[in-house]
Amino acid sequence: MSPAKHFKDLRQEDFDRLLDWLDTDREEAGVIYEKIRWRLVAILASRGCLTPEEVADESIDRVARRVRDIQETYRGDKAIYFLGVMNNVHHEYLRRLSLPHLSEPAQNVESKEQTHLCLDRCLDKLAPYSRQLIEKYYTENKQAKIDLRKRIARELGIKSTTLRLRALRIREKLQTCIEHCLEVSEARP
Amino acid sequence: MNAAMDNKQYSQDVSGDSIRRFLLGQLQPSEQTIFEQQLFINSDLEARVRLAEFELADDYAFKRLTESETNAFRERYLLTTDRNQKLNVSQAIRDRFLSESVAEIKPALYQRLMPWFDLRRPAWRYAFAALILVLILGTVFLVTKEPLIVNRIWPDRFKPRPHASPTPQLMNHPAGSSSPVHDEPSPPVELHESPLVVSLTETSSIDQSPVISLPAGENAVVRFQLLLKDGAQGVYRADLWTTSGETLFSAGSLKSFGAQPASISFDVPANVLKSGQYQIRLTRVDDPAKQEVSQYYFGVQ
Repeated sequence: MSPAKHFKDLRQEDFDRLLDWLDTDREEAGVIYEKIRWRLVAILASRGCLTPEEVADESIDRVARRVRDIQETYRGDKAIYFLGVMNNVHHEYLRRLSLPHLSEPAQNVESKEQTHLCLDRCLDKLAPYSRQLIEKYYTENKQAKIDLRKRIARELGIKSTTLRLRALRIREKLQTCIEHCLEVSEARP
Repeated sequence: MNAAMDNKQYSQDVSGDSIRRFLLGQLQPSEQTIFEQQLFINSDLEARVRLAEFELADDYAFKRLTESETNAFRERYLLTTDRNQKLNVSQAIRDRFLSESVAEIKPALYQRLMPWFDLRRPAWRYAFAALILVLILGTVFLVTKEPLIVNRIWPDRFKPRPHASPTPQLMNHPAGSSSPVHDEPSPPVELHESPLVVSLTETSSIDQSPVISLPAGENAVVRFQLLLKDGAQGVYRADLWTTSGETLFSAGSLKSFGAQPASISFDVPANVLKSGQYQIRLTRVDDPAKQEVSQYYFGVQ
């Protein structure tokens, strides 16, 4: 559930108070909010919660409603407070819910086609070095991949772990670019 | 300061394998608790986990996971929309770059091409509708504007029934017939009787019309020769009417022959005629500006 959807369930004043509590700078508060939410979702998914986003949002809602009471007295890492609330919400979730496991959702053909188009566009936006690196990094599979990556690292004069980090950061950029591209294409009529 | 150092140290101590097992929900409970707390306060660890998410999605898309990892991936990793989107991109990257496993790419290529040939797509429906519309309009245009082309295209069996010709014997038994020759003896050809020739002039009154006796015989014909009063050459159409206003017979594309006076000739099967009064209307068909009707009358005993 995106923050926008989450916002509907929350009173505006509670949400504003939550952001103020996280940081007086609203932009910084937004970044902290997103990081906390991502961590909650990651932990809940790791625990096998089938609706990690909903449980995470419910946890954030509860914190937001309590901020008025705790903001003067709470001491310590604020993010940890979210973890404590999330544990309670997750316990409640475990007590009331038992759903079948999910399988990989099939991506529809049109969406897949659009993802491919966006990938091509985003690859074109990469710097030549980055594009070359990512193309080489993903070209081979299995043993050939390991050999290739060693060779690329040698050519660039860096360690394999550094190569991996660089490639994954480019991959992260690609992800952001593709998601933006998909949002734009969805917004078009 | 010390806490930050400790966190950084912890992040460095955590192996890539532990991060992977966290994402797949395979950490021991004691490891899980520590890992969760560190994830909340350790930005370095968070950054590593974020990158590991991409790597795991790539490994799944490239089919590099073991069977248990694959199952755990489906049960624990693919629980959020964000991660599903990561997997979609990983699969797109696989399709784009992986040259080795052609077999894996082929279905993807097939799936990419399939929508273009899916007849359920609205685009195909519109295309077919437009095609049918064009065909209908084209046919209408062809029929209304270019009748000669239609005559060439349509098979003979769809053409209008031939009108009576001046010489039915010639029509039925052409001299240069190319019909196949059979060895077995053919039945004797039934010969037409000689037609009864009736010459008619344009009369203004039915009272002055001639009265004819019909020839006997199943194939008997009456040949009408209509004298044209102005002698104009042209193409005519003759219609045989009863006095009650019913058309019995029509003959088209009749060419006038002779000069002074010119006449029109056509044959009518005798069996269509009964005792009574008849009218023949002659119409000029080759020049619309000169359309005129001449009327001829005759009676049958």
